[in-house]
Amino acid sequence: MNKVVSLLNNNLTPADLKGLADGVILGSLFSRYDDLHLYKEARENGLEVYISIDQMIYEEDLELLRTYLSVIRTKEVAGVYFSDLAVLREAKAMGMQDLLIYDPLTLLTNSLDTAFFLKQGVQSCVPARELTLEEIKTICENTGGKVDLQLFGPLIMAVSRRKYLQSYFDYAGIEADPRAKEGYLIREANRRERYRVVENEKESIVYTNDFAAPYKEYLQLLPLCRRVILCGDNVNREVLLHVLKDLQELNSGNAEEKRRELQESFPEETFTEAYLYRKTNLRK
Amino acid sequence: MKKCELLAPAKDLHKAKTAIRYGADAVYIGGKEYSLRARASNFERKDIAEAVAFAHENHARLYVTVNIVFHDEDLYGIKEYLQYLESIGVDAIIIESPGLVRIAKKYAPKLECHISTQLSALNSASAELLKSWGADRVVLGRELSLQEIEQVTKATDLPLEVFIHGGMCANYSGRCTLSNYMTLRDANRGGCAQSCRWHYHLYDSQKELSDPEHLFSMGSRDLQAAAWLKDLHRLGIASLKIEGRMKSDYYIATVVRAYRTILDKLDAGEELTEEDLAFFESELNKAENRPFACGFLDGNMDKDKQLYEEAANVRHDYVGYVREYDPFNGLARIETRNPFAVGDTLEVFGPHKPNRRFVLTDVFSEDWDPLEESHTPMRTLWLLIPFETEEHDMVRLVK
Ligand code: SF4
Repeated sequence: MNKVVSLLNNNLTPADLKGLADGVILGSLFSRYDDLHLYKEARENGLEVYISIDQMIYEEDLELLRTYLSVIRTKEVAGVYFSDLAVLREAKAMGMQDLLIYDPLTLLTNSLDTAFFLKQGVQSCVPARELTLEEIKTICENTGGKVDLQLFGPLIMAVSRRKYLQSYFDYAGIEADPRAKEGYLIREANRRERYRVVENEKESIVYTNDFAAPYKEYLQLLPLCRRVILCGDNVNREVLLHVLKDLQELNSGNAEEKRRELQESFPEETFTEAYLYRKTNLRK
Repeated sequence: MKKCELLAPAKDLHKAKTAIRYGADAVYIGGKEYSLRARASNFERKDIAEAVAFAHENHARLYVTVNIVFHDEDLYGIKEYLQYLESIGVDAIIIESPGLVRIAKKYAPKLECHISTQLSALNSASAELLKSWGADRVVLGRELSLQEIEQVTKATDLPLEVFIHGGMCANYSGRCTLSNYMTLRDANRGGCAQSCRWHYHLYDSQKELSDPEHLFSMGSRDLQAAAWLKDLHRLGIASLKIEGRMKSDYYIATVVRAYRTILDKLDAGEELTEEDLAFFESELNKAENRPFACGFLDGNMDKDKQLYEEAANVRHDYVGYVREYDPFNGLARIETRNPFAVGDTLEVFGPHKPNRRFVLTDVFSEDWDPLEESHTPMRTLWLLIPFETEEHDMVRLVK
């Protein structure tokens, strides 16, 4: 089992992760990440490199995607997380589908589809984050544990091709940089919690502003999956390092205490169990 | 050139029939099972069977959405359901799950599988992959510009479906959990609370940037693509889709009729003049909608595509549905909807015929009492109409 971490805007470098994580998720083209230049440093620090192709692919991107995949194939890359089916088609044509890890954020919610994608030759799949602990266990059990689980960090709530920040700034006459690195926070008019909106050239992304840190459940899921992902996007580096250190020492005897200490160490942060106990099956 | 199919939504059997009468080539419905609108659906299995029969009698097709993003618990009984749909002659299912396409192809092979927009297919490589998995058609993501749609059409022979009218998801369809997170309602299982349309304060760390009178929102204007039909028609798009499975009969009749007329003109090789377009756009405006934009079709994603003020166009023009016409007395029996009064100018429209106006002079109750006005919906009244109308025509107020 591996722990892999993403580094978007959290001031961490691969060297910081040495001995704490097994791999790092980097990206360049077709990705919200733009840190593939850290590849060498990651390898030097003994980290496996995973590449994220998390953005949606348009027709005019296909040629470049093929070239990108052919370059990736020549590198020491442990896996490629992807979201758009075009990546699977092109990788299959190049015989490199076994490098792929299917992560469509929300669309992989059952054992049938997970097994289907594994049958297409991908090495692993990332089930949707909005699944309960029991649902995740079922998928893990039904698919021989060939799944990666994003258990830690903020969750992506929405991805859009729209320019949410730029459009609003134009509408409201606000002089601000929509591409500010850490993005902006929004709060629904009748709620207290805030969400982070980050805009890049290709998309707007809305993140939860709280931090999933299910310590006890991590121990239960650990033997059932292939990798655990810590989403480091826009998070406080100290929080991420603290969690990574905790995971090194975690056992069933200290999980609850360590979780309590985490909250006490960072009282301004909200740590949650994400959807593990929140069944989102309400309908209209 | 193969004709573009006009595909309309329907929430119940009556609306499915209305869509077909008013010119839809195909109708998509959600059953009470496995559909994103399952809770709102009025389609019992017997209604689906009747809708299929009606569609086929009228040379139309009927599609059933099986488009929730399934959790393991939702999959029970799906095989039997697909076999049932096949047995009653449903033409296609609209489906998100590639795993389920495989099951459908194995156990209900006569059902076409149309890949739902929930999957956000945006390029020919995805379309080709889906085709190799058994897809018969793919509904393209609404994020594509006309130019991008054209690029996809050139690179795949899989039949493509494109949205031309109705509400838009602000985010990539299927990749949004705003509603899940904020309300525990699963957007991918028919529970979306439309959280993208809510209003939000916007902060740069602690400092509020938003104007409290005009808050931030992710909400989108509705799509209206009348002016783009000529190009979509030229590209040979297999199906042009209208959104709105929760909408009224009046909406369906108005919108389907407008697009039907445009498509008929294009099929006949006629030019679509500026005047024509202005007329059709004014017709489309008569149905309830939010302010319109052309979505991503023009390749722009600026503020004019967003909706910051809640300004839904709630119309009260729909006076009633014609149930029968007595040509001897010039009286139409209508089922009322919105208020109207003697002296109002009304307009009658129906499938495949022009709008006709008259000034209302006489209204009678079912017991033949003369009335001056009506305020009660779903009441049966007789209206003196100075020209022939027929069952299924609709009457609306002219502003
Ligand atoms: S919240 Fe908006 S964007 Fe998200 S699923 Fe619902 S309608 Fe679509």
